[in-house]
Amino acid sequence: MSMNARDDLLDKRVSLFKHLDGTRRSGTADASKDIHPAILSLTLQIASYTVIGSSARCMATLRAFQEVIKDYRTPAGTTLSRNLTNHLSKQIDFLKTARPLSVTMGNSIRWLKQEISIVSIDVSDQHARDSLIEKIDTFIRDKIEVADRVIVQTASPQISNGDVVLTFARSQVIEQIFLEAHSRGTQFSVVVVDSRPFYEGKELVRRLSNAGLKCEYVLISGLSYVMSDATTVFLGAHAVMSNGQLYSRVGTALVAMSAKRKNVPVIVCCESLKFSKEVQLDSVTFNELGCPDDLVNISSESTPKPGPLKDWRTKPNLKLLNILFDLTPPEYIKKIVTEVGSLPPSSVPVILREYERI
Amino acid sequence: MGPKKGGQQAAGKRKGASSNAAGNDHDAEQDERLQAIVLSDSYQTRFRPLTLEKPRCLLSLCNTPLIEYTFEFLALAGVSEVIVVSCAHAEQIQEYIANSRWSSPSSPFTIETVLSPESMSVGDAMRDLDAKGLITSDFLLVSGDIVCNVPFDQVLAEHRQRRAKDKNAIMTMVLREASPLHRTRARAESAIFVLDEQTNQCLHYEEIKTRKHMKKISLEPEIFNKHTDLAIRNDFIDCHIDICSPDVPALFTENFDYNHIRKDFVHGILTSDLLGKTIFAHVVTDHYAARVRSLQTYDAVSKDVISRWTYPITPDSNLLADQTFQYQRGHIYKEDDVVLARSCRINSCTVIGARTVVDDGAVITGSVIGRRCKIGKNAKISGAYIWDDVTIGDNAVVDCAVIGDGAIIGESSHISPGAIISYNVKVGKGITVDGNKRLTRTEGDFGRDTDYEAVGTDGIGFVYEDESEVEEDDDYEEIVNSSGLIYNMASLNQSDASFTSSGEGTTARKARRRRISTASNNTAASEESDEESFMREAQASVERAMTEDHDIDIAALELGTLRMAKNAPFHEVRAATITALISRVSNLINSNTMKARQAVEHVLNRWAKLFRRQVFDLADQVDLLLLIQRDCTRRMQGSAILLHAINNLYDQDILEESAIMQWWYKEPQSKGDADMIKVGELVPRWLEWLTTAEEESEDDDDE
Amino acid sequence: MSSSSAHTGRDKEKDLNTHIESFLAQMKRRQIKGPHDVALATAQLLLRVVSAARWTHIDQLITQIKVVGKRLQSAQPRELTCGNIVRRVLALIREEAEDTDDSESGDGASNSLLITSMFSLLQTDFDKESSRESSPGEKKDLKPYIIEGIQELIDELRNSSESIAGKSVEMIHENETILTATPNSNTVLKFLLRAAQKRKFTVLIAEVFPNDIEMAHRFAMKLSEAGIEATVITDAMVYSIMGRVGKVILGTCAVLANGGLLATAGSEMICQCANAHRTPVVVCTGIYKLSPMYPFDTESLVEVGDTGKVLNFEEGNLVEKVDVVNPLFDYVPPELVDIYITNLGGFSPSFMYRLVLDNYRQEDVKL
Repeated sequence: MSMNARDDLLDKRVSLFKHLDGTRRSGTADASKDIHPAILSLTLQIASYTVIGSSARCMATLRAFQEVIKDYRTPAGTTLSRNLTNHLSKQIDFLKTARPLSVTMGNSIRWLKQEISIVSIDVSDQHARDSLIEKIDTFIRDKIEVADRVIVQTASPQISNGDVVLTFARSQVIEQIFLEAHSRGTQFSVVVVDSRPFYEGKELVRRLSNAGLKCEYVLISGLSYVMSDATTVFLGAHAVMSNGQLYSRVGTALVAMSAKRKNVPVIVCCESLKFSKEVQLDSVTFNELGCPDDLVNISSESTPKPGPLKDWRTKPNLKLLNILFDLTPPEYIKKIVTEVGSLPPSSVPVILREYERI
Repeated sequence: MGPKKGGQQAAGKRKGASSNAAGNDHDAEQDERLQAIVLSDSYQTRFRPLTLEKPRCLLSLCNTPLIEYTFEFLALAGVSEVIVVSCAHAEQIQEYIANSRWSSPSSPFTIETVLSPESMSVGDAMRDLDAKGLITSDFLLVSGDIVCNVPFDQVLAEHRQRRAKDKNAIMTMVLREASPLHRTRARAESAIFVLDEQTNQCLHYEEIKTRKHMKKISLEPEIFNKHTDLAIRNDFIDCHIDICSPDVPALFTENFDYNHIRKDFVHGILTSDLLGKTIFAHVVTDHYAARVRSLQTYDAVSKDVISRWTYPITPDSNLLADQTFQYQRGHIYKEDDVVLARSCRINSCTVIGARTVVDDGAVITGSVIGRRCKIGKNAKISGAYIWDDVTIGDNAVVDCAVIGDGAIIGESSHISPGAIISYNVKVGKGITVDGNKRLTRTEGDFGRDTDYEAVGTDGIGFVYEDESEVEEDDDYEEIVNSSGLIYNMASLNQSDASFTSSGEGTTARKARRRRISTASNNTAASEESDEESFMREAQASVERAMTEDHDIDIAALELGTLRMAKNAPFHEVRAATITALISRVSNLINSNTMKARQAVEHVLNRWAKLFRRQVFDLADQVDLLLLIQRDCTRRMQGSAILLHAINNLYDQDILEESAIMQWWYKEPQSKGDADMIKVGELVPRWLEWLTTAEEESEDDDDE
Repeated sequence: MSSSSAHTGRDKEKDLNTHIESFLAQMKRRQIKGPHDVALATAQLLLRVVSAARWTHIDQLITQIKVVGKRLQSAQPRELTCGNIVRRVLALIREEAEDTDDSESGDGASNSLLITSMFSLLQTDFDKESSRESSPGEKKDLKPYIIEGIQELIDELRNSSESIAGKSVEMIHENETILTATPNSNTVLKFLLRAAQKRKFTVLIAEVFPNDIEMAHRFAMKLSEAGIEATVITDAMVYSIMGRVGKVILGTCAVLANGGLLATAGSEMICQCANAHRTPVVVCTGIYKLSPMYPFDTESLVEVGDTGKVLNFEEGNLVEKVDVVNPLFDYVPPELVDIYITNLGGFSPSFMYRLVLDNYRQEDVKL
């Protein structure tokens, strides 16, 4: 009993989030032989946050699937449309051990499986593979690359001379919007708000300032100090839920709330691929746990400098919580810019339905 | 509780000092008292002409005299006794200190100024101190130009711990980690520290002598026997903050040729195995430490202070009693009674002193402006350092320049980046002052009249020329770099950026070397007149050597001295040598004494060795080829001379094949114009021969 | 004082000046920092000033204190507690003086009570001086009384967090989840530790990176050692978890007369967040932090700290091109605060002006 009590005290899972699995893969020793090398390496990259960001992860996954399909040979006695799906599922299960799938990954996997299922049994294996690989190429181009370009074209003119735009962490499409507006000759400055433990904004600010943009860098604790200057807030997204909630890097909700309360418009820019059919009400029921040890670092850079908490795992009652996402309610968001147009958060389910039919 | 403690401490420490002086021979370890030696002199001339009238440590940095930052750091470090050693402008320093709050009873330390008028270097000062017997215990050695907010207790504790364990650990150097291309590092100030990873003992110190294109350092094999983990690092800002034991001045006395604390002393101690003394480094990874060593670092440190890297030592701390700075959003600091016109614009990172008036339409960006200045209508000031009582006329433009107390800039004048306008100079209306100009009114050793060309007919002042020559050759590179100061630095930074971002994966040291060569090019471009005079003299020197048949080493030495004296880049040295050599060849041919080939061989076989000290890498070789080609366009039989010269230099291994290939195929200049093409008409044939010869030899190998 | 000008007097004055100077220097160097330490140091310094001072009329003392106070405050204008203590001492002196006046002239007792705010607003010092000059005046030596008053003030400073902690049980119920965003506050630490003696609850600690991060982590350690379930979260997580929080407890650097407050950077957004989730915000503060100032220019109240804490200085390229700011405080408007717990009891923000009137004299608001 006392043993149990002690274990209880040293249980480092935060009770609110006990339903989430925080374990992370660190190696591939246990991988079955069916797992394709491209998937193995991608899994490690995702687990170590080398590949980070929902579009980037989605793109990398699709590219890896292309490799898988290229090397796939249908075993005797079955058809490609049946067996490949199975084969892919194994890969996906393995991939999930790195981090939970992002909404973009989920959406594209669903699409891919659909495509595989409709491959006619009459076509040759080779032909089917080629056509699938090509379809993936087209998908990436349409849903991500071209979509991004369209979003950049729509959103960048919304920055005008003298604006102070504020953004949080780092989103690739937001970065492109700023660079595009800058290259159009618009005079504006960017405030990048960043947070522990990833410091993604640092990379953004590095890229923007190298391009000659005037940037200000602040950590999220200084948000109120800089928010009063901002004219517009641009945010990226990990996903947008069908009830209009924005699921994005943790801290986004604070920025959006702060902006709303100071009457600064919040514009979210994302590809429609990020729209999810799911609904969600709070950030607790569904989320992703990061490694709590990341919080032990007390320096403002990613190379860790352990502080007083370095032995926290041996201390009873002490817990560190590191969740990766939060949910921003739709009322904080002025509009969402996607490749199919700009819309209010309430229109997300409409878009989902429209595109399902096509 | 605080104030009480302060007072008692000071009193207690004074007592401690006397008692300890008596019992000097005994261990001073248990004594918690800390002495600091401040070397107020820099023993350099980089800030001239500004330092002709004022010592460097009293120059204003963000409207506060530089030495205040040093004292503030010492106060934070818990120093109890400060000894200021001064030589140049000693009276001014003494007077300043006597009237400052540091001499008041509330000062956290006692302060004493020591004159050392004869000292010409750190070494002299240390010997002087040793002779005077002022040093009684471990002390902090700093120069009077540091800005630092590193909490010192830990550094000190570690030093004392080491001292307690080992009497021979005579010194701890405080080093701040920073990338080699960091703005706050003095350009070309660079050194390699070899440290023991575990103990941080410094095992080897080597100054990087960029002009020698050092490619290797040599370490005693013994080091590897004794220490398992070595770190060889050049990513430090070394602001010469050292904790020294009393042995250090004594060692300076013993070795009377030690001048420089790093290059001579540290290097000397570490390489001599007789003494058995050890030196440690304390690597600081957070907080701020920097030294104002050149105008470029003056610029960088000012910016760091303004953007609050040095907190709490910022303008709004109002270090001096009469200061009233207040902080505003965007790192803007304003004192009371600043008058700003409604339509003027103050942009971020700006400091404005009391009673300064900024008129309508003026725009001030990232600048420091002193007290009682007048900024005229529509004046544009960016990145400038304007000291007290300066008047800037209407529509004037001041860009990244330093303007001394009481100077007047006329209407619509333009002060280009890098210029220095010293005290009370008056620049007339509509004058453009070039970036490399330093204007002054102080005659110094050489009486001069107003140079109306430089300052306009209604101006007062003349162009300062650095008469000091180059006394210390070790600082040569720094002088080259800081002479061009802010402007050159800015362009250098760009080249840094492009270099790092191009991601060629070169080492930091290589980057440094490249950068220096850009530096030289910059100076070359901006100092036309100097360049011409250098060319003339260098050419004459080579010609003299040839006609009088000097020894090749003597000729090389002469060229080297000349180059340093004029701060000339190697490009010019090469150009001068080429011109001299080829005109000699040309003379031999024209006087029909020899045929082209003979003449070239006659001259180059003997004299081409000069290039060994002028040509260091591929880029240099290509440059050399271009120079020869260019020179040959002016000569009779130029194409023949060119061909034979290339052949000869190739045989002598001065030119490598890849350099010739690059020159001929890739360098656009080699086909620059008709003349260039014409003179190169024979080259393709030679190249053909070269490649076939190559192939044959390869074939030979194969067989 | 000049009339007596004995040698000892001059020495004393010199000595005093030394103390003031070194106090100023230590404030500027941030060797004395934080509201509590600054308040204590100020009170102790004023104690010296009063004991060294000589005066024939009480107004001379008041002027002296005002002059010193102004100097002290200028050393670090954003440490409002320094000015608060000066004003508290001034009020104390005035009170002692009036008491003696009253006891001597007899009629003033009820009068002075009536004329507290409005009247003293209009009344100038000059009026008072002339009116009192004519009074028989200054027979009684006030010095010991004033010194005693300052001693009491010092005791109050020392004990304030204890008395605040005494109210913690009323604020926290069993199994509650508390969030605090000021892990650098000793007052909050004591408050929670005291509550832990009677209650079992969970504390979420927003670490308010980057300033005082080590302190924040040590704060969590101390709580966990006392048996409180302590969970450290990053500042960015506050919104996602606010829905599960019962109360937000904050410490503060200063409370302003309008009921707003200055607290560690990040507090404002956390209070906004609490407000959006209808979570009550409890602020623990000693009454000495209450300042008679109104926040007309909130930006000027915010101290901006060490840039190097936000971005490491080694990042040369960014250091050059990017403006980095590190605000140390946030101004939190009164509408985001639900209740103040002070050493005098709990108050709503709208009542704070009244406490200002109780503790300070209107004529001292401007030093």
